[in-house]
Amino acid sequence: MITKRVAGSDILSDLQLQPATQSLIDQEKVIRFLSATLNKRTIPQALLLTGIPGVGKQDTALAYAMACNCSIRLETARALEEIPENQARGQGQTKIPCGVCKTCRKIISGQHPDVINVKPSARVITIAQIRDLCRCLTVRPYEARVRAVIISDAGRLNAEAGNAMLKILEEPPARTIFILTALQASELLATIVSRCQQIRFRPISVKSLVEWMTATHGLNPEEAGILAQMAGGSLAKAQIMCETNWISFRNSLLRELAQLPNPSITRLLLFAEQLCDKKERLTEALEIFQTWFRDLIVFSKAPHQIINKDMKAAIAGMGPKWQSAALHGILSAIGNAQRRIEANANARLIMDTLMLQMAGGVL
Amino acid sequence: MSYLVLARKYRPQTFEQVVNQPHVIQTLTNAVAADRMAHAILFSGPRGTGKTTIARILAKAMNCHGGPTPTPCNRCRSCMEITTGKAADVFEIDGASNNGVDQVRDLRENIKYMPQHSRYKIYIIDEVHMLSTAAFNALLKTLEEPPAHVLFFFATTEPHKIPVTILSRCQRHDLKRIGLEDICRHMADICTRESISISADSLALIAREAGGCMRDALSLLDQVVSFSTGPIQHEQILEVLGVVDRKLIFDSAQAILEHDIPAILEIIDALFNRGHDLKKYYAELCTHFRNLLVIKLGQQVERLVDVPAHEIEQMQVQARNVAGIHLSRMLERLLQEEVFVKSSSQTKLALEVTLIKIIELKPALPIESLIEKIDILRNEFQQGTLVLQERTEQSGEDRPLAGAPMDQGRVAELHQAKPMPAAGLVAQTKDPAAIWEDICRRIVAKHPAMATSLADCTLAGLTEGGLVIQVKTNAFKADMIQRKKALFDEMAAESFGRKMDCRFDIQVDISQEKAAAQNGRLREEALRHPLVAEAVELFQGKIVDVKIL
Repeated sequence: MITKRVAGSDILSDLQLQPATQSLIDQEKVIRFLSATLNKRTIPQALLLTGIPGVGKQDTALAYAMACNCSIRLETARALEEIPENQARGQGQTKIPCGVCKTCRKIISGQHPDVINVKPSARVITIAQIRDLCRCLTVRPYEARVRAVIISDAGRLNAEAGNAMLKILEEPPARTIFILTALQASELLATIVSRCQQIRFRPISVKSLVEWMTATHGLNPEEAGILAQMAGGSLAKAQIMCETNWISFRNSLLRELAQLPNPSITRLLLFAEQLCDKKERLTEALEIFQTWFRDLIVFSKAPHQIINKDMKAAIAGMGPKWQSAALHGILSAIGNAQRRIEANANARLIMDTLMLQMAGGVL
Repeated sequence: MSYLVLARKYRPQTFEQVVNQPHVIQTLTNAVAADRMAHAILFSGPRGTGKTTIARILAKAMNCHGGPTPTPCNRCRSCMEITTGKAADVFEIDGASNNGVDQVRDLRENIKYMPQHSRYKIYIIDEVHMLSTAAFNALLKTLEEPPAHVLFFFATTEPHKIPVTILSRCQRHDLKRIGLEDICRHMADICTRESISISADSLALIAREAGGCMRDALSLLDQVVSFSTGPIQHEQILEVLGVVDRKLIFDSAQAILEHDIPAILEIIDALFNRGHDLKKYYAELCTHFRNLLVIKLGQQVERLVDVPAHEIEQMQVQARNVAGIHLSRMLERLLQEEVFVKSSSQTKLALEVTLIKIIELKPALPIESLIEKIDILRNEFQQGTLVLQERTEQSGEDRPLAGAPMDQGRVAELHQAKPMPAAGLVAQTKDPAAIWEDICRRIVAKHPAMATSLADCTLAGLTEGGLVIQVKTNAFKADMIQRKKALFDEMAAESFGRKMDCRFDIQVDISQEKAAAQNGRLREEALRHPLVAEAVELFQGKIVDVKIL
């Protein structure tokens, strides 16, 4: 086993991880833990980053790979002074990675030979990809101090691929770390999870999202408030919402749903057709449906816990027209529709069926 | 990289260091000592219980220069090589990535060569369950009769995926989960060696989260140690591990049992915001309800429910006011909805909706009490008319529905709910016309299609135990009426409040049938008539109807 300490790493003792590409919001605990591993030099051989989509798992994985290799740890104090003031130092802590040294820039641009990123090809990560990876890992790292293998969306490892990783994950070659990202640990084989140190990302708080949206996209706080509520803690989702005029999209959908307890079937089918024309937004639309019906259920019991907070008046008006069993029926119908669309069935047929189910659900 | 995780650093290197698998260790050490080692051994068991570790130690024991010995020296060339994973004669093969038949053929090619410097050539195939069927079959012959210098050790977490033909050629050792106390003791040992200060409570918490798997426990310990500076606090561990606090599970169950929807939504929200795995939470909730149910049933609780004693007490309190049948229905529903929660893209939303649905489940009555009620009801009917009549008078009063014992008044209420008049009333009138009318109404209510057939029936006679019904109709209808005899019997019984037998006096009206046949023939003839055909052709018309004058 290699037990030699990395030369010069003692110069800096109070490192703090900070992703260079985008600031990580609301993840103090993650940063504290990862920084602690850097400071104590207890870099784990396998990390599993879990959290909902769009909270910065991939960025963090890259940043960690950079931090393990960043030149600041080797450079002398003189080199430190060359780094822009605001990035390099804050309250006696050293932000790492620097994001400007040669290694960092290589990693950011995806050019680094020792930072390997495995992503699902099509829907899953296949055993062929893992075999290739294992072959890569038999040779020593080209230049990195710590070679990083980032497996994005590890929940999509199929059973064969997952099993093929077990041996190398348990005892990786020298100077190699694995960073897996996944939505939830339960997606992975228990045997994989047991070999990793799991780090959970929190959903980003509504407050931080509002701040972020007003700062970066120039939204007014009111709109930002609505979007933040609907983004469900995901920065990526919030960003898409900001860029696609999401509120008016939702309102147009809800206008159609508002007629529901006594629908005109033709109008509903027309609505289904319109939805299918914008196929790329179909999943989004179904999620909006779900939150709407969820709110109708929740409103009668716990009014303050609805998601569409700005639509409170409309929900209050609609609520009494529905029976709770009908709402549950519609929600499970939407769930089924989502699963089928995921499985690539004919969207138009599914939406027609869903609309008819919605109409029939209240009869 | 300088850091070696605890699980690897403290991987046992001798049989004595293996934690809590005495049944396996004892067998193996005896076999080594007596020189009766099987040539193929399969280790199975949950993750992190020591399969690979034992296989490696066994390899050392067999190849140690001091002769096959239960206590390998860990100093000779062979032992050192195995420890560092560079042994020339011990092949540790990853069954999952080398799972094809080609790799097995390669293995068979090489197997005939003698070991380089050790006694045995040892193949350790890890994750052996991932071998393809072809690969397994290619291995069968070799596995049954390998050369004398070859040993096979297999390790797997899923022995059920291995073909029986392989299983029957191996000596199988099942490793069991490691007990809570043993994990704690081992971790405490490691902590003293690493000079980490941590309380016994905290270790117990980690051990519980590990669920009997040593590697999980050590990974978690590693994480906790990296995270904290100075002595390790209990709260810190909760935070780092993301253990869903047991209290939250109890609170959730309480909220569900008390139909408190806002509370359950709060709990889910809190869990979500802390980044907990909601699917795992759902699984734990299922387990909790299962435990509640077992405790409610109250037999062999200690053995069947794997939680500390104080939690069993808490659960007993929780389950006290709930009917067993209701618990089991909730558990059933939880399991039913599992797919929905697990496959949903919005886990939080799915979880909320599912739990609301379960909260809205109406408490059901146990089947036994329902059957009991039906029995009472039937007895009432059989006792005759008088009692029932009395009860009809009582039924106007308001009665508490829930929890009231099943008295006669409630039977009457149930009876009142029906639109039909009470049975006794009709039977007492003795007026055949009224009785017949009543029976007809009942039959039509039950079977509307009978209405037309009933028009052809009349009541011909009424005796103590039966009815005679005269049927004047065509053969088809008569047949249909006869086939519905059971319905007539039933309705008559309902009307009279006692068993009645219906007899049919059938007079098939032939003249009607004949007339119909005659008309049909005339119509045919008219259509086929050449004059008609000519007229149709002449006027380019078509025949709409044929009327018989």
